Amino acid sequence: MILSRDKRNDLAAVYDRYADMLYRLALSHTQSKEDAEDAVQDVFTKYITVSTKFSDMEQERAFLIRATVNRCHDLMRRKKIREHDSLDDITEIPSDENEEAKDIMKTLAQLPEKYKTAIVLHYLEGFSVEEISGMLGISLSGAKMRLSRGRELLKNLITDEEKSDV
Amino acid sequence: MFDEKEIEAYRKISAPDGLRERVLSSCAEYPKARRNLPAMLRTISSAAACLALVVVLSVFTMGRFGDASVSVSGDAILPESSVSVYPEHGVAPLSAQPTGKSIPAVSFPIALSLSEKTKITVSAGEMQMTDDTDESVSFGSALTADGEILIHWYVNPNDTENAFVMTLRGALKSETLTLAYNEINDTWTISRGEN
Repeated sequence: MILSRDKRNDLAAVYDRYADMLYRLALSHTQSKEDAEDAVQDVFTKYITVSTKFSDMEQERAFLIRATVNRCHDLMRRKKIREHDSLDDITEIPSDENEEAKDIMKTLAQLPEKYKTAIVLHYLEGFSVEEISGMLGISLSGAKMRLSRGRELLKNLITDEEKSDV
Repeated sequence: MFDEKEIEAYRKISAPDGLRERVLSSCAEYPKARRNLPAMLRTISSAAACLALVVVLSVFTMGRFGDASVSVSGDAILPESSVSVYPEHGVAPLSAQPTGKSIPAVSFPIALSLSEKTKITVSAGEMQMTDDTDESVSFGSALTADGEILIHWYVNPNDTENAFVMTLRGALKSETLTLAYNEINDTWTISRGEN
């Protein structure tokens, strides 16, 4: 299949709209720049096979987010999680913010997968609970529960980190 | 949870510059160059491992003619037992919806090794049967198959009051797979039993 010029332009527009968010989401799951890039590439490859089926941007965004999370789960299962070993590869973060963003990634790495996705989408990407429920294909109460448990775990992690820093 | 400065730092992470061109190029040549070599090797080795697992399970169950071997995400489900399963989130394929509108769905990849021609039906949701090239070969709430197949069972996660039941009916034996959601634990389980 060769993409037409219009289709390529459409794909470029979708990439420009979502790639950064999907890359951050993938990075929070894989903790590896290389795997995050692979995940995003695979997601867009999958996207072009189904892109005509989306009736609106919300549905399109939900597909891309779910596909990214699923792809990351596949990668993690296959690699049995390379714990933190590639965090130093995160070079896209501006140097003055670098350490702060890396700290967030390191903290997120310790969260179980299903809580991590909800926490990233809600607290870092700014999506509402309803939007997360739709994006992840779970009930509203399920989304709330993931956020609640994730928040609790995250607080414990941050407290532990602060204690160890002291 | 996170303060403004942390959120700002997080949002400044952006996809590498080269990735855009890599994505557009690979998509333009899809499926010829849809994946890079390491990803392809990972897929091939993963498929080989799955095949090996299916062969081992098939050999294990050969002495039980008429039986099926069942596994979900690589976890074998023995007769009269149950396992916790982790759903894949997605949108049920458009052709699954009588209204023509897609709905959020969770799906469970179920690998079956059937020793006889078996009619497979589900009480709710839709099944997508794929062959070893990952292409969809059949779709619906009732399918007939034998040999080694992979079924993605799509169900609506907002309709979990009752358990979902998949029935495997062969000439020699009939079995059920019961999929249930526990909202308190936020977990899914599949139980296998005789019909």
